[in-house]
Amino acid sequence: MDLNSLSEGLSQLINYGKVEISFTIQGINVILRSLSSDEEIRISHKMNGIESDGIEYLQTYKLLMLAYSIVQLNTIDLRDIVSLPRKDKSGKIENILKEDYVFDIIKTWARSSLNVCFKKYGELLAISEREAEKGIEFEIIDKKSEISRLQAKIDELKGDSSEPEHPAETIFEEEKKEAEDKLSES
Amino acid sequence: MIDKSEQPENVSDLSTERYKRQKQEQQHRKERWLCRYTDLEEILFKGFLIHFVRINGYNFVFKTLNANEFEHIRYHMHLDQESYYLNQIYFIAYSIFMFDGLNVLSNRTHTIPILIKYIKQFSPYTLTCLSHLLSDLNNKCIQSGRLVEAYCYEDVSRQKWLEMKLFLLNDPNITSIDGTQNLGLNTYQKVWMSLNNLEDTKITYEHEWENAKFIASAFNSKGVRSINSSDQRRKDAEQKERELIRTGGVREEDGIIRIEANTNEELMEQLEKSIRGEKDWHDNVVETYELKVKEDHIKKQESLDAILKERESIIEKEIVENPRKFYSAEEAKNSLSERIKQKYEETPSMKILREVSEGKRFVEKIK
Repeated sequence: MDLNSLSEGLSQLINYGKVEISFTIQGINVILRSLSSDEEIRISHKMNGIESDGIEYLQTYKLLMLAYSIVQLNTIDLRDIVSLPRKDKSGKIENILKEDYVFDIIKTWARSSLNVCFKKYGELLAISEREAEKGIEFEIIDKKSEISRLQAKIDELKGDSSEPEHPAETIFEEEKKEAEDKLSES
Repeated sequence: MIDKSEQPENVSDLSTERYKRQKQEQQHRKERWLCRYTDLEEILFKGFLIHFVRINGYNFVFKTLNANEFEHIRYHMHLDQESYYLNQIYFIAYSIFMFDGLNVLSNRTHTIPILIKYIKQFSPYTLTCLSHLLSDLNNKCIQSGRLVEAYCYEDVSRQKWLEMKLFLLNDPNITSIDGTQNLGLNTYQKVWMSLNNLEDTKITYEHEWENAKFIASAFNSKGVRSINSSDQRRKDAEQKERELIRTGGVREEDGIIRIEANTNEELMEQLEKSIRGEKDWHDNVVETYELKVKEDHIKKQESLDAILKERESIIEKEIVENPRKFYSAEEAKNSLSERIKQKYEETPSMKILREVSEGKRFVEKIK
């Protein structure tokens, strides 16, 4: 069989289900792009070694998701960039990966700004799901399991609609409470 | 209005018409009945079930996986056991049979890495969506696979077995798909082959048993007649049981073990069991069947022993009734046995009788 035809055909699907969302935060125009499975895998690898029930885990996860999904900051286009040069402490120039570069920038941002960005990433995921659903056609094999999946989705949406209007603040409150609990335990 | 020209002219024509109609109805009923095996026949004679999916305008044909392919996925996952997405990526890559008209099974060593490279670029939602669909497809395969034992008792199955027993079921000559020879056999193919092989062994054994009974009838026709009737009862019971399985009225207490996987987790557990070397459904079915055949053999052997004992008691009786014929009871017994031995021992049929009675013949076949 012709492997080139296979690669060529499959390469047409690289951008399938990928969407971008633009918003402004503290005067900076940010564009987020939905992540591929490969990027999600790389994030989960980077999360290895971090204690999964601490605040650090949640914060690092948010930062990494955003570092991978930010593709534009104001006029700086990061879409096709793999690595960027940067001076280290000794003044020597070194190339670091784009996501590590963005990670270092956004970790200095205020927590509330990060929470807003992460909320926007949630919106992006919903749009991405809708886009992916539009592009995929198949006959349902098992109606029962499809109904139970759709029911789960309806329940999830119902749960979402009952959420408070300001999720960023709620997340912050939750983190604060968690930190207080930890302090009182120690 | 009924067209008179189409009506039968006399009673004989009427009965012929009715007979034809009955035959046609019977044929339709049989065809409808065999329709329930459509998916199973795909699983047995192609090796998998397929499903068509169109992604962003590109046609994919997905297939069900067999235990060997799950094993391959496990090899890939060995270093990355924690990655949920990676598991899905390999599951999807191994499930692709055709992409845009290209058969990717024919050169899997090269196509799998390419497929993985591009599937990794899919969004996590697409992966989840496809994984759900493929899980449903694999579950459908399990549901259809449950009929494998019932299918074995249909005439069409034995006919297919006679046509295909010289080939492996994944041979491209059978499947008409290039690359299936590298997939190995699925569980249902193995079960179907094992049950048919055992049926062949059983037929040979029955043939030998009939020969042995024929020889034994020379010594004790009454005893053989009673064995015959017990054989007939056994055959009737077996036929009844097979009919129950074939028609779906299955009784669990009969000891026939069936697949119990209803969910993906149960399917995974079953595969893990097979990977760990523990007994799976296929092993249990074959083991139960073997055990049943062995039990039948023991029963038959016991009947044969009873005949031999009866023969001895007849000899003893003759000694008591006609003591003048013999010097002593022991001598008489030996003399009679010697005469029987001289007459029959060296003949091939006597050899068969002796070997069957000692259980040698059967044991060899089973081994």
